[in-house]
Amino acid sequence: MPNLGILILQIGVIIGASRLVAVLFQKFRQPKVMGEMFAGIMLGPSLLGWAAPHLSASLFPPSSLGYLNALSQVGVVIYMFLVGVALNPKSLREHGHTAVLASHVSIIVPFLLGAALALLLYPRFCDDSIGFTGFALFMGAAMSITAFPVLARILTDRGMVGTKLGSLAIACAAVDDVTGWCILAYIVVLVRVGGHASTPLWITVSGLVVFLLFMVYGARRLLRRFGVACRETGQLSENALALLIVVVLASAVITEHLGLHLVFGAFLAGVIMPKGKKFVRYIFDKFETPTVVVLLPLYFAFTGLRTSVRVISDSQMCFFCLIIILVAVAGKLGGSMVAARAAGSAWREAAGLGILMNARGLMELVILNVGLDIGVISPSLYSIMVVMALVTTFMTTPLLEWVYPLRLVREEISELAQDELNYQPAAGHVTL
Amino acid sequence: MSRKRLIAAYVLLVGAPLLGLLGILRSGQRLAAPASVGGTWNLEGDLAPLAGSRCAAAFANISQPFFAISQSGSRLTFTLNNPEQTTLPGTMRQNAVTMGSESSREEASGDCAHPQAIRFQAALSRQGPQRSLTGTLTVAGCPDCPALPFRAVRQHPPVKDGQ
Repeated sequence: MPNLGILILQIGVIIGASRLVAVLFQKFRQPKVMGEMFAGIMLGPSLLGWAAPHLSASLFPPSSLGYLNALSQVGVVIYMFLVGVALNPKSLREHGHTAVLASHVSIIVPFLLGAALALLLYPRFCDDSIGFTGFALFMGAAMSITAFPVLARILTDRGMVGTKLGSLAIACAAVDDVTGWCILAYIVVLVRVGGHASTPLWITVSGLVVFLLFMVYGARRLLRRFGVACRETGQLSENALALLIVVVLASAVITEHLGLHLVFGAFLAGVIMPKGKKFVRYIFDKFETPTVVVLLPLYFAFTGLRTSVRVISDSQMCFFCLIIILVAVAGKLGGSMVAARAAGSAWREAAGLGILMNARGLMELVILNVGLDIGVISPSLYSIMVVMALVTTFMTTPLLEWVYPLRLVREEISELAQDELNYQPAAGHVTL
Repeated sequence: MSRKRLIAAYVLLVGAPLLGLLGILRSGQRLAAPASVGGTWNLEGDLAPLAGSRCAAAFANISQPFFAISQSGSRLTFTLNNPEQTTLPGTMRQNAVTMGSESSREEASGDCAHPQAIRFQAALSRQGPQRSLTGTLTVAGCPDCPALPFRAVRQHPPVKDGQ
């Protein structure tokens, strides 16, 4: 039985700390999620465990972490479902060649640089239980991910959702997300099969194909009724809402049992949901606040408890940390910028796109936790990559203000208003 | 954007990096990572010669599995299975595994009763996924404590989801 007193105390401390730090970060024009991530790191061995080891040991005894982890996984399952719900394939079609080229390049260039970096890191951070291919592909995927919800939040905060750059960034991030998760799914299968997984490869692959077909051609049709009901009445009955949650949880459990990870099933369930504005807004109204305020901070804290920035204490580790951050920025920011420029965007707009795509945020943490769980990255590399995720997310807002100041945004918005252009993508619902 | 320019940009910015990726994956196959030693280990050794010495207290509260190793390449972190969960740094050079840093505080202070003073140097043997260490246990800064030969056998590699 869990020690409920300890668990409730942990939840209280985590929520309090994350709110406090989020408010502080907002004062520096950072998105809330940045402060919440930072609070999670502070509660781990990086700060609390170092400054007050006895307090840390009594607040987070190892025996209690299983329950905290379980709760945080529920949070990330619902969060990935919301990310899937917010994805709208239409947003890509509306931007044609520029979005297709920019999104593909913004994946492949950081992926290439991440894999190249693996040549340097593999002998230093891995052991022979993980093959080079799995490690290199993982590093590529970790470098190429974009924090779609954080990006949407930054665009909303700056009033850029309706601008050309804003809608292009949302379209590119949507493609990045889907591609990134597909690649990660492949890596998980590759690593688990190489590591003598309990689920044979043929069961994983054939099961996934059958499950995907069922979700896209079977479950999706049934779920359309939810969209119709929501459009007509503006809400779902309690029974319908319960059924929807069951679909999400079942999808998560099935992908986990097929040898993947919970997050893939939850994301897929979100992707196949109806995309009507009323439905998407209703789902976010129902699920977003408890997920963002209560459950996700637990995930950040659990991530923080696994992260020790103190591993970056000697010159060699500082060097690797610096190299990883440089490669991450060069690949994602540089790659997206060059692609947008090649597709005909102006330099300022191309740089803005690169800066936005470089925000990795929570999505990076989810990927890194999957990587640590399946053993493809070591605890030290995990800690360095978490620092990279924090740095690349932190730099987004100030860099964007520098390259694409609010004055320009206002000018563009007023021009758009004059042209009576009224574009409102579904991703504007995401407020994380 | 014209169709020709799009195709050219696609070939240059997507096709070329894809080829580069294939080259990297191919050349990376030649790289070798250190042997996996992560996981929990049982100690098979006779600690009786320590009885009565001031070093005995260092080993008193450690139960089996005697230690766990967390590995990042050749950098190791040992966690002893005592109530304090004492952690010690370690390294691996080819098949030579070392636990404990030579320049730690405990060695300088000569606190022989502290688990932080425990050291070992051992050679790694591999047979498929099975791993064993054979070497000598010492207590740093305490020359009057006898060096103990030991053998350690890995019980469980690090837990990986779904395995």
